[in-house]
Order: sequence, then structure tokens, then C-alpha cells
Amino acid sequence: MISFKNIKKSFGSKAVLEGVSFDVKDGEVFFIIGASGVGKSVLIKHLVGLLYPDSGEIWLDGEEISRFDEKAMMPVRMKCAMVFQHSTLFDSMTCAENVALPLRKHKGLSVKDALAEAKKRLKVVHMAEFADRFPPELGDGMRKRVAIARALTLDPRYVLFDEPTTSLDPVSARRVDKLIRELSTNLGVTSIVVSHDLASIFTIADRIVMLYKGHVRLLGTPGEFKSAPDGIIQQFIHGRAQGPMDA
Amino acid sequence: MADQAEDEDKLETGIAADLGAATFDLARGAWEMYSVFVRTLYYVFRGKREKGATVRQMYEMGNKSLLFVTITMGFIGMILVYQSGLQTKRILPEFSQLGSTYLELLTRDLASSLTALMLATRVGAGIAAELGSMVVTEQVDALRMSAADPIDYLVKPRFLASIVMTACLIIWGGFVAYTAGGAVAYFAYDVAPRTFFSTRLVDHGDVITGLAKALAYGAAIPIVSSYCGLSAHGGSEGVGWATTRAVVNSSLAIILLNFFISVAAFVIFPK
Amino acid sequence: METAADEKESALIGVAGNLGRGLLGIAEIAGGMGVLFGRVVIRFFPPRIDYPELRRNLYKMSVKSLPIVVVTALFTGAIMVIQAAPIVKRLGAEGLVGWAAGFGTLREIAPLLTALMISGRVGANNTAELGTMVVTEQIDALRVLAIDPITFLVVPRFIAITVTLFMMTLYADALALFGASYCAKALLGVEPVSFFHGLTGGLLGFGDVANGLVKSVVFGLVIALASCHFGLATKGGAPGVGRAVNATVVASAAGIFVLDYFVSFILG
Repeated sequence: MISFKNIKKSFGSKAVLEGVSFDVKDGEVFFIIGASGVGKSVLIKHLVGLLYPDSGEIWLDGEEISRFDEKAMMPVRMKCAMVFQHSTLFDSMTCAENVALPLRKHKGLSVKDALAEAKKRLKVVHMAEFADRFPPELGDGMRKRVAIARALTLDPRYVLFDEPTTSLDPVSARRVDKLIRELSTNLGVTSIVVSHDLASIFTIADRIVMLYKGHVRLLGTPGEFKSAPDGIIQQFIHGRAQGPMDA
Repeated sequence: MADQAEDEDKLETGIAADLGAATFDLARGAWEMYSVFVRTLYYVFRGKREKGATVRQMYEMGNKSLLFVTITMGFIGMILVYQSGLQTKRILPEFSQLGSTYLELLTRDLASSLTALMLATRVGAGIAAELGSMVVTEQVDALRMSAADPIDYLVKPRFLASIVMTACLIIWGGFVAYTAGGAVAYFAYDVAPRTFFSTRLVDHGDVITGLAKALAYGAAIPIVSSYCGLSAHGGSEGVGWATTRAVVNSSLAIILLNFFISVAAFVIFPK
Repeated sequence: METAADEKESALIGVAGNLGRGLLGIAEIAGGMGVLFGRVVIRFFPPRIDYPELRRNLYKMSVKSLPIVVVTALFTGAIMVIQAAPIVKRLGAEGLVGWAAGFGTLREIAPLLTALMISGRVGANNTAELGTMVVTEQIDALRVLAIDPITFLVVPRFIAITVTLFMMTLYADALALFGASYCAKALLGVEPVSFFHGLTGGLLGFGDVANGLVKSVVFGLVIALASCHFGLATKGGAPGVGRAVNATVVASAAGIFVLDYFVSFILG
């Protein structure tokens, strides 16, 4: 289980998170939504030690991780994988080598065995034919799938997705949604998805938290969001240009 | 078994192909740079006048490289005299010619070539990085669409500025190297300044050669680096490659120009 | 009311301020490189080296540098003979052309020029790669995969750059002398036999070769350190990468010359 308790984070004089608290239950598909720049990516980066909060606590599986240094973070990162917004594959390696890397490093497999295992995992995301291609040669949707395969190599309990469908065409986006849903249903993985893709949100989310101006605006199920009387929430989930939200 | 043999074959053609491709790139680049040079010259005489652009570039190149050139040429001067002294000691421990020979070499070759190599890194990288970023952020395309030729607007001022500033920096670099060398000669080998600082062996051929090199290098560095910068493509990666290529190709151009001018000087000004 | 004296004073303070800022900047860079060097060295005891990455970088760097080194070395050898020729003629010491070209090449020119070319070809390239990885979050991705970027990226490149420079200097030594002997024949009529006799005739020894090779290792470390430092410290998107490459090349060149002097002095 993951808990954020009163997280505050500023960059210089700009306050991004001003006291954010919520819990994420095991096995659920949890969405963090909000306008651009509101701090969604900043928040999930705290879970893998890429950022540290100015104050507050972060609990992951019974450990308070907000003060962990790089070394202490290693076991956390094995449990909690992240798929970056721009897929962020290693350009100097083929897709298979990308997926094989964590296998080589953490499961002690030889280069040959790791590549074989990597190809198997690429098959799961339907990317087996592109195993020997380099990332720059592939389209965004394909790279995203390879990135997901790589994130899953260490069999993590939690997977963080930073805007997984933002730069994808609608068909690829729905495929990624399906993958995320299957992770939860078939493997019991807890997925935390940062997104402002309304179609994704209302197709696969179990629960949603919306951030606005550094605070939690609402935490609930998609149904609770749809029927919320809050004008700001309604403006966001219907994608309206006009409304009570600040420009 | 068959797989292994196949892999080995692939590896061999891989190396040959890579080396071949690398060498071929060198040749092709040279031709394209020549055309940039010709177009720049055209714009020098027929281009649009833009106030202050050249002066701004001169400031960029000159002032920003001054400290760098001073430090590197100072140390080079010390090294050269120190090493020459060591070897001269081995043969005949007689240092009366050390200073004059040193000045002759500096004038004819070392001041211009070594300073230029330094500038190829400092200025060449700077130009390529700047122009490369502009290409990658589509500013150069915007320029073209307002009917301004990037060569006229971007390359020409840098070209003119470089010819002037390279010559100035070469003279300064030579001076620094000469003085530093004299200091080493005095402290390490007890050569009196009056003996060291003598222009006896420098003749007009040396001066002309040195100036010719200064001009050639001053022209080559901006042309080569601008070409590399303007042919950048592919985001931040592309800027990195462009800057790398600019440094390498400028340095190579300097070495090749040095060779040809040195041979010409050897034939024209026999000693 | 500002007098002329006041103006002069503020101008002086301005110059001092700039100089101070410049020196502080250099100190900051030196400090950063020192820290990086420490981190790299620690990872040798016990040895934590990613061999596939090391092999890949060695191959890539050697292949990339070979054509450049070949061209540079051949022409440099020739240039050295051209420059030395008048002096040699003046002293009537044609027999010493081999020696003159040899000592300069082995001790100074080959290691120096090879280092400068490699700093451009390999060092700048390395910074560009690392810088791009920083800017596209690939470094963050590595950390999230619980892989230490220094062990995985920096250490192999460190070793690869140093080894590459060492090997290339060896090649450059040989090629420059070859270019020089060819030129000596063409311009001075010195036969290759007598050229090489001048080389090996007792005035030059293995010590001169070793001198040059020690330098090449030192230069390799400088280039590796500078290129990795500036690569990892890149900020600011595409222009940031360009700036980082610029900084690497300048810092490497300065470092090479400064260390060249001190190594010459120590080994002298």
C-alpha cells in the first residue's frame, strides 16, 4: 500500500505541492489527474526517489521512504517501476537489449539468456518482431510498449505511468489502456497513472484523485467524479474551455 | 556452429564498412564545405549590410577566447622550449641559437597553427553549437521564410570576424608563447634574455608564411563549423553531433592547410 | 557625485569581479570533476565494471578515431620535417633529420595532437551522448531501474577513452614517423635508411616512447573526466547539449596543455 501524508514541494519560490495526502490500495488502477503543471509528475517522482519532498511523509509497504538515500532506494525501485512520458528507452541499444538490461543486472542472467528472456517479454506486449531495432526507428506507441515491457522485467508490485497516452494516436492509446488494466487484473499489480486523457480515465480507473492548485480537490471513483457538484471538477472532466478554473 | 561463423563474418564486414563509411564521410563533407565557402565569399561582396553583426561576432570570438589562448599558448611555449633545451643538451650544450630558432619556428608555423587549433575547439564548437541549436529549434527555417539566406545572415559576419580575430589572437598567442619560452630558457637553462630574444633568423618568407596561415585558418574555422552547425538535425542529439563534427573537421582542416602552405613555403622561400 | 576616481574604482572592481567570477567558475568545474573522479575510482575497489558496455564503447571509439588519427599523424609527421628542414640544412645535419623528427614526435607532437583530435572526436561525442541522455531523462530511467549511472555509463567510458587514446598514440607515433620519413626523402633527399638510423642511433631511446605514452594515459584521463563531467551536468535542452560539448572541448584542451607541461617537467 502507498500513502502520501501532507506532501509539500516547492521549486525555488514556486510552490507546487502544498499539502497533498491520499492512499492507494493494493491491486487497483489509480489515476492522478489535473491541469498541466499542477504537479502530477512531480508527485509520482517522489515514489522512486527522483525527487524529495520539502516536508511530509511517504509510506510504501510499511516503510517511510521520503528520506532514503540512493542506496536505500534501490530495493524500493525494484518494487516500484516507472514508465516515463517519453518512453525514455536507451537509444544506443536495441529494444531487446533495453529489456534485457535489468534482467542482466538484477537477475544475474548472462547476456545471451537475458536477450532470450527479453524477447519473450516483448512478445507479451506484441513487440517481438522489433526486438533488434533501435528505439529511434520506432513510432511513439511502439516505444511505449517496449518501455512497459522493460518496466515489468523485475516483476514489480507497483508501476507508475507518467502520461502514458499523451502523445499516442487513439488506437495505440486504447491498447496501452488495455495493457494497464490487464496488469491489475492478471498480475495484481498496483498501477498509478498520471494522465489528462479523459478517455483513459473513465475507461480503466478504479479510483481517481484530482489535484488543483497544490491540493487534493477530490478523491473518489469515476462515478463520484461524474456526479460531483464542484464546478472545477465538472469543467475538467468535460474538457470545457470556459469555467471556474483559473486560466 | 554455423551461427558463430556467420557472426564472425558479419563482424568483419561490420568493421570494414564502419571504417569505410567514416572515411567516405570525410571526403563528402570537404566538397560541401567548399561550396559554403564560395557562397560566403559571394555574400561578402554582394550581401546585405547588417549593422554591428560582424563587430558583435568579433567580440564573441576575441574576448571570450583571450584567457583560453593565453593559458594554452603560455604552457605550449614553456613546453616547447623546455623540450628543445633537453634535446639540445644531449647533442651540443650550446643554447645561443635556441631563442632565434624558436622565434623562426613560431613565426613560420607554430604560433599560427597551435593558436588556430585552440581556436578550432573554442570558436568552432561555439559556432556549431549556436547554429545547430538554431536549426534544431527551427529558427533557421524561419529565417529562410523571411527571404534571408542563412549564409548571408549567419555565416558571413562570423567569417569576417574570424579572419580578423584569428589573426589578432595568433599574434597575441605567439607573443605569449615567445615570452613564456624565454622565461623557461632563463630559469631552466640560464639563457640570457639578450641572447634569447633575437630576430636574427626570421626573414620575410617566414612572416609571409605565418600570415598566409593565419588568413587561411581564420577563413577555414568559421566555414567548417558553420557548415557543421547548419547541417544539424534531430534535436539535442543532433546539436551534440554537429558540435563534435565541427571541432574535429576544423582541426583536420587546419592540419591539411598547414601541410599545403608549408610545402608551398618550402618551395617558394628556400633557405 | 561620481568623480573620475570613483569611476576608475568601479571599473577596477568590475574587472576584479569578472576575474573573480571566472576563477570561481574554474574552481567549481575542477571541484565537480574531482568528485566525479573520486566516484569512478571507488568503483574499482572491488571492481564493478559493466563489460558489455566497456566492449561496446571501446569498439565504437576506436573505429571512430582511426581515420582521423591516420590522417593527422601522417600529415603532422610530414609538417614536422618541413619545418625542421631549414634548421637541419643550416646545421648541415641531414643525418640528424631522423632524430629531429623522432624526438619531437614521440615525446610531444604525437601524444599532444592525438589527444587534441581524440578530445574532439571521442570526448565531444561522449559529452553529446551523455548530455542527450540527461536531457531526455534516460539517466533518470537508469536510476529508476536501480542501475547506478556512474557504474554503468561513466566507468566503462572512462576506461575506454583512456585505452583508446593510448592505442591511438601508438599508431600515431608509427604513422607520423612514416609520414616524416617519406617527406624527408621527397624534400631533403634523405634516404629512409639513414632516417631510421637517425631515429635508432642512440640519441633516442625507449624512454622517449614511454614518455609519450605516459602522457597519452594522462591526457586520456583528462578527456574522460572532462567529457563525462560536462555531459552529466548538462542543463537546458538542445542548446544545453551544445554548450556542454563546447565546455568539454575547451576544458580538455586547457587541461591537456597544462598537464603536458607538468608531466614533461616531472619526467624530464
